[in-house]
Amino acid sequence: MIFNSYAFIVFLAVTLAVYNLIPSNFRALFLLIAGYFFYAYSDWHNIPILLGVTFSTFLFGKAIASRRKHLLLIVAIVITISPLLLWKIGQLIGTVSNRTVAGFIIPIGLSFYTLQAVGYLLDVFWQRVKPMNRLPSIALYLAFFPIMLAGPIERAGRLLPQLDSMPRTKQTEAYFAIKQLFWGFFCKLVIADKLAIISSDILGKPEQGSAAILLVGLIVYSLQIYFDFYGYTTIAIATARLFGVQVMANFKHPFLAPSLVEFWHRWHISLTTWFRDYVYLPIAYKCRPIYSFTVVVLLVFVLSGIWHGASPNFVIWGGVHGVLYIVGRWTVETRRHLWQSVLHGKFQKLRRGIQAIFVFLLVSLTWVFFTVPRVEDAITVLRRIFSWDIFLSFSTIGRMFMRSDYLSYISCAILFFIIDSLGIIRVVVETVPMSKTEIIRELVVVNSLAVLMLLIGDIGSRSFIYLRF
Amino acid sequence: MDRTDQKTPVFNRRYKLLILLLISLLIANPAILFLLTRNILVSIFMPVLVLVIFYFSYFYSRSKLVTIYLVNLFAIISFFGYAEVIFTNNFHDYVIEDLYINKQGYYFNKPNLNKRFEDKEYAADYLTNCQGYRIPSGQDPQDKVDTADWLFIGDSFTQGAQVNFEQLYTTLVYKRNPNKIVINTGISGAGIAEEYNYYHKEGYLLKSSLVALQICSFNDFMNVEPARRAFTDYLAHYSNFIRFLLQGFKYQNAAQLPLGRWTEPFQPDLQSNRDYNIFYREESLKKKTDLELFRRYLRIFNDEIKKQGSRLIVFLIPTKEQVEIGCFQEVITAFQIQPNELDMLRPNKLLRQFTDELDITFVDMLEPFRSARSDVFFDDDEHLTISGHEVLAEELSKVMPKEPTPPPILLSKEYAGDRYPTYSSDGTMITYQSPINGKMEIFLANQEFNNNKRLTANNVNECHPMMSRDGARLTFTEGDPETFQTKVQVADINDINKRIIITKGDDVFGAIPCFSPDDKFLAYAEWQRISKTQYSNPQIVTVNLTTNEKRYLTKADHESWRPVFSPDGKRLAYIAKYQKQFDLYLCQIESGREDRITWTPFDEWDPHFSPDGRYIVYSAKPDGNWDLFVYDLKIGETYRLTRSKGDEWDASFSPTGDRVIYAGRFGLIEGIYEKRFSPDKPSK
Repeated sequence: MIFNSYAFIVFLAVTLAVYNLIPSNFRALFLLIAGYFFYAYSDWHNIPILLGVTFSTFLFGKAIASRRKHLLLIVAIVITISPLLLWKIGQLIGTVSNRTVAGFIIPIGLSFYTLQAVGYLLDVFWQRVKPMNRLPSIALYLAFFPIMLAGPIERAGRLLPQLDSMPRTKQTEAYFAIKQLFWGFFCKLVIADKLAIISSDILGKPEQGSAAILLVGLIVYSLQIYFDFYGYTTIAIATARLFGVQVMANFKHPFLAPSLVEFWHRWHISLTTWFRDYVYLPIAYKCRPIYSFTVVVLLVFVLSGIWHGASPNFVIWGGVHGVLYIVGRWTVETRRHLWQSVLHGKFQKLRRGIQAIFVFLLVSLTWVFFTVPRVEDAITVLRRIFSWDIFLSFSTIGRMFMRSDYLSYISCAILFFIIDSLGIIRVVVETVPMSKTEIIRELVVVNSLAVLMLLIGDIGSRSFIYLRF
Repeated sequence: MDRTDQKTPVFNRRYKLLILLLISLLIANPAILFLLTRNILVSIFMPVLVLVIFYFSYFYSRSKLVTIYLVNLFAIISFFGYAEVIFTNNFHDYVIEDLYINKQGYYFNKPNLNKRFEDKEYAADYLTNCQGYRIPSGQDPQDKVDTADWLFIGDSFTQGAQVNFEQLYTTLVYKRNPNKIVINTGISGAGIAEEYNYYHKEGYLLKSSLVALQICSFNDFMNVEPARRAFTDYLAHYSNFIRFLLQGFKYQNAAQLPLGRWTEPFQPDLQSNRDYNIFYREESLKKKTDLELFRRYLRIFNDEIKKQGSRLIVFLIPTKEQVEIGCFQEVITAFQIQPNELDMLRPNKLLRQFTDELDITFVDMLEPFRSARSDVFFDDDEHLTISGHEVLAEELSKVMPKEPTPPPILLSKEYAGDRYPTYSSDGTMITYQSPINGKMEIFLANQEFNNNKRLTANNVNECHPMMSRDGARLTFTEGDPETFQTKVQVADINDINKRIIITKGDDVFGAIPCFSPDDKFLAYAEWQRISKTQYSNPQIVTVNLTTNEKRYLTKADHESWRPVFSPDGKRLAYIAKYQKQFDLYLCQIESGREDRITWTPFDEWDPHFSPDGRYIVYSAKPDGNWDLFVYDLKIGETYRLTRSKGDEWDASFSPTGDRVIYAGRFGLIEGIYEKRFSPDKPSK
């Protein structure tokens, strides 16, 4: 079941109602059943895989806790991630042989709950969390429906205690969560889905677009993927909140980041910190400082790329980000001195703005490996963008914006990007309005979201991008 | 505490109540509500309801926010209500007509449509009856269909809004089998899920013996689920204003597409090709799910059809890209698709495999379209041309169930309202009636039903025509049969306005006349007005056209209609209703002796003698619909001439006696038909 469907809205309403009606000691079990129903609704064939990962996590968790052996940990991790590995290899074979291997369409959510399972095993091994003695607890940890399909990838130490308490939904929390759901659905239905029309129109046929149009296409795709995943995460967090569970934030205005290093602290935070905590730090801890940073960061980014998809384009995407990240870290002081010598410590906001635009463009350019699946095509797009043609073809952008619907979608995306960046959405979502100004502000925002969603939001028309990873 | 202080709370409450009332009236404005709903109860009840909600929310709710959100919600709804009324009434030119109605799980034509679709490549009339089924021009939209022989279900290829009703492949299939009720339920954009839902909820009621399911390579293989009706779709369906607002956002225009035409299932981007293009080899979860769903729907569709005692035929319309190499090249070049990434026969192979598994007859239109002599698709539009419909009808006719006896021949060129055909005495001409602008007029046609000549042209009904033996005169009924105030007239065939009224007198009326074989007499049914609204029973009358002498052959204590002279002029056959139903009677004119011919519990109608006087052909209604029968006067046996779900009536023999011409109604098509009659071997 995906969030942007009527089925989910009904499912959520029913689940929330039953959850609040039943005694507290049955709530966890009920959520577990709801989670499996939620998962089976998309494709019940994937249930055995989820069960397998759950059993493996539960049994190895207990075994690791009793015998803290590295070999046992490696075996546990390999067995737990084996379904994911199998599908990734299948993907790789498909990509290399230029054909899809039947049945190797990755089961929805597998990439996410596998990482959560591995995180738990490592946390048990490092004694950060106690092993769970009850299978249903681990099962719910992996099948907590708000986050099981595409994150945020939670830590056992944060999530497991919350899943133990299971309080009744508080009125104020529900009020905030509903506003947050509104915003999440708006990001997906009104912004991301509409930008997708433009980006697929441009990047689906790159040979037809001028260099400037292709650049616009990548920028639009950048906003699309952000609002798509941001919307998904917002819905997930709001849904979890309705059940009294606080889930970690996945985004902190990444496109306002003044550097790529900063960008990765704000983008898909749950995945980035997962790789940091469970891959980078353990490896870096055992390696020499200089080499460790360069090699391990590169390794982590390449791994992150492969996690997104076992194909050359995702490896390149990860690798490029890895290189840019390393270069960014190496040049941080040089750049600071450079800015200092030019601006003499003044115009800090302007400096940050220019840096953010630069980072945004850089990140947007790298999405080409995400959205254009063939590496050679992606490189062709980049070559065209980095040719002199870019300066000559800016007039073609105007022609594209002759389409009123495109212009409306992009204006809407930019407007709400600004509103969100100014923190207005957060204030509206997270507060109970008291003064007249606050009430008016809330009504203006909520009404805008509601009316636009009703008018142009098409629920279920497009899947979430991150559901395919 | 002074008096003012004591009054303040009461005053405040009254003041607040007044404000609430005004806000309620502004938000739920009765005038706006009436203009929107045309319902007085709603217009009164809604403001009261809104006021009550506001009152309780304002005075009893713990949180002011609840009231604020409630007022806000109603205010937004109210805003759209005002906008709808203003837009609909003041900006009528901008109103975009909605052609479909949303039903549960599918959508269907709106009833009583009368549209003309024009494009640079085509112009076609699109009319629907009160049930939403497509009908020919001239057909009464209030005529319903409740049964069918062959039911065609499909998308816009079947709907065929680019061609006239007469050029549709379903009409052409009917033309080859004009004793079948063929119903076309094609709806633009419908996929197998919606088509199944239509059949499951509505189509099965037609009890068709055969269901022909048209498949195409995009609607049926992509998003194989009933089309999701977004809330906006419902809003747009009911609101002219919303439809106008969303025009450029929700509904794509072919001109804005990359190639300026619909190219589905070929998509400009790779992911969409993976997800939605059935020809694209690379799989995706979406495509895999769609294929599984398609297979499932086909299976349950077949099961449901079998359960109804019917049979399924599946036929696949190829895409333009499969048929025309130029279109294929254009698409793969524009969308940068390598030919080896495509399997252009994949849907054909898949459908053959699926239908083989379920033992369903499958017709693949790819080869017939490829080998067609003229273009089967329009150049820009993706739909079928008139030639395309012809090729499709030709191929489908090969697999349609055949009957042991040859089907009748459809003579009518237009499929609405032709009735009462009779041959001239030499058999070279046929007179019949047909509606023009809502009025029945009389026409003359040759044997092939060509060179049709309109004989009457005025603003009154003229019907039941019959030519005199010498071909110089025409007798007919004038006036509206519904009013019972019709007159029998005889006119000069070369100067139709030179008429003699046979039923003279203000209170004398008559209908359905016929000439005697020697043209000296006229027989018809005559009745009189007894009071302002009452009339006597019709009696059979003969009139001597020379002396005007009248002779009543039946009494007024029962109804008698439709007299016809025997070829020797000595007998009259007619129908009479002594008890509950009409039966066939034969009267010896000279003696006045009346013999009952049929003794059935159902109606008989429309008798006519064979030229040798041995047989009487007539229509009867034994199974709830009218079929033709032949009574052999020599041996006193009845033979069945037709057995169909349609109505066959107004039969008459050709002068040679080897053919019977009759009118009929097959579903939503009315026409004149001809069937061979073998006197030696009438079919039982």
